Amino acid sequence: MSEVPVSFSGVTAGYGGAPVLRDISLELRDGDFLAVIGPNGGGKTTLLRVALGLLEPMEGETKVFGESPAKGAHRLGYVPQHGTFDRRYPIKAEEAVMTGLRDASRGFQLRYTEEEKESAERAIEMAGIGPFRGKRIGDLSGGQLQRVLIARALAGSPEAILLDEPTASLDPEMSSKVYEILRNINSKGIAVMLVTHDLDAMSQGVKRVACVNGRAIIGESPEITPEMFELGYGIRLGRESR
Amino acid sequence: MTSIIEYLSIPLIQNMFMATAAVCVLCGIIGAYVVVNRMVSVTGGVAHTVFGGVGFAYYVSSVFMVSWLTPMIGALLFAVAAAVIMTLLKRAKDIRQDTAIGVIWAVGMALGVIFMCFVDRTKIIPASFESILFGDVLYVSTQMLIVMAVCAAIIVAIVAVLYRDFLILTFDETQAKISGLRTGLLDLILYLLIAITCVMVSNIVGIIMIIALVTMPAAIANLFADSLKEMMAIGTILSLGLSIFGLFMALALNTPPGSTVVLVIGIAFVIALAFDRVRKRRKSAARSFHDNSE
Repeated sequence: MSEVPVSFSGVTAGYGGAPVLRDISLELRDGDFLAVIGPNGGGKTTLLRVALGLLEPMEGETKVFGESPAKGAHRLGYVPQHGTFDRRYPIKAEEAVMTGLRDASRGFQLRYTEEEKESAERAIEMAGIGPFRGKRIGDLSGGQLQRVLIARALAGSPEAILLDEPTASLDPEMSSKVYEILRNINSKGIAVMLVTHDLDAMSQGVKRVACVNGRAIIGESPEITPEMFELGYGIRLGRESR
Repeated sequence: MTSIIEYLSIPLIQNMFMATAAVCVLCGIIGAYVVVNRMVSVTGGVAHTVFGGVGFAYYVSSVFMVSWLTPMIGALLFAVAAAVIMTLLKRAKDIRQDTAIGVIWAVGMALGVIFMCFVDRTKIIPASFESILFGDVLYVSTQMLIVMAVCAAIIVAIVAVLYRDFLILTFDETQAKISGLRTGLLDLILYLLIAITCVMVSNIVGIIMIIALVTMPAAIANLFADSLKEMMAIGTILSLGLSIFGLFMALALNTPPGSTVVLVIGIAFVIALAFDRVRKRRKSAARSFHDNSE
């Protein structure tokens, strides 16, 4: 029986004692492509932080492959927003990808194994960063750096990948390249949880959508329902406008 | 010229050059982490507690006749304590890190002044404030040189073993946490390495100018290096070359060695920055010409 990559059961989480998310129950299923939409401050990134074990929920339970996030998060790949990086850091694209190979659960390692290097090569190929793999990250465009971060997340051969606004501040051409990579990843059986503002993502291979704004409405298709529009954006849609 | 060659045959001058070389290796390596991880003010805070440790060592050894507590050991004790406190406060949510650094910085200096006031000068004649604060590389003893070389070797070995983990930690701490790395422990080790480096550097340029020697060569290297390893190598070479050039300048001009070294590195930093600006401007002009011609 396949394990559920990520499950939230009645999770309430927030910062400084103030909950941002309340009573969230949600699953990222095996082979899923789940888009999480919602307004700024609605708790989308908080949800990712809880799944990755970076934030302890106030209430409820989170499981990653049936274990606590602290034990299971190493089986996940994580792609943060490219804008949060210090572009002056002296690191080439391919070395940044290699940092995704480190898994402390395998114990101390002085060097990368041949198998790990092959895995990094596959990730570089899958994310299509070969032409600029030798460039310093400061010399890459936003879209190129985002693809490097996707390759880094894939390098450790994750069973599911979580992305935080990967197309934010990218032009439409670069965004569609990112979605193409995500569709490709998902077609290989890797579950994808995509936090996004971009409603175009629903036509880019997404299988299910969840709208999060303090609480969550979860759908079984990529269709954004009127209830989701109301929860996420305060827009009331009539039945005829569906 | 003859006089410089004569100088080089004096054991104290030889010690000065060898101590500078050991310190420059540390500055190239640890300085790289300080620059990429934006820990310059942390380094400043730790560096200034060294003064408290030196004063403490003079006071205790004069009043309680504790002969093993040399100024360098006192400095190490205080610097290590400051590093541990800063690591703990980094995770405390109720105090900002720069506030904590400011407090440690000022209290460390104040403690040094107070301890120095109470030193029993009938038993020990402490080094002058000037030589502690601004350095006196001419007084590096052979014993001190051995301690510095051993510390440098240990730090290089630790960095070699933990290089990958430090790279992940300083590039993206979130990724380090997800990988299951013990980021708190790695942070503590990094802070301790910085603390020991500060003590070693204080022997060359004094407490006030530690930041300069730790930061500037690494910052110049950051402009030209494509990887952290390259940055460490360039930083070490620059640090070595510029420091030795600075020492020769000091000998030739009869100026204080520590200050002369820092000034030489400072000038090199300004030149490197200007060169980098011009290089980037030319690169961007070439790129836009290429785009237009397409």
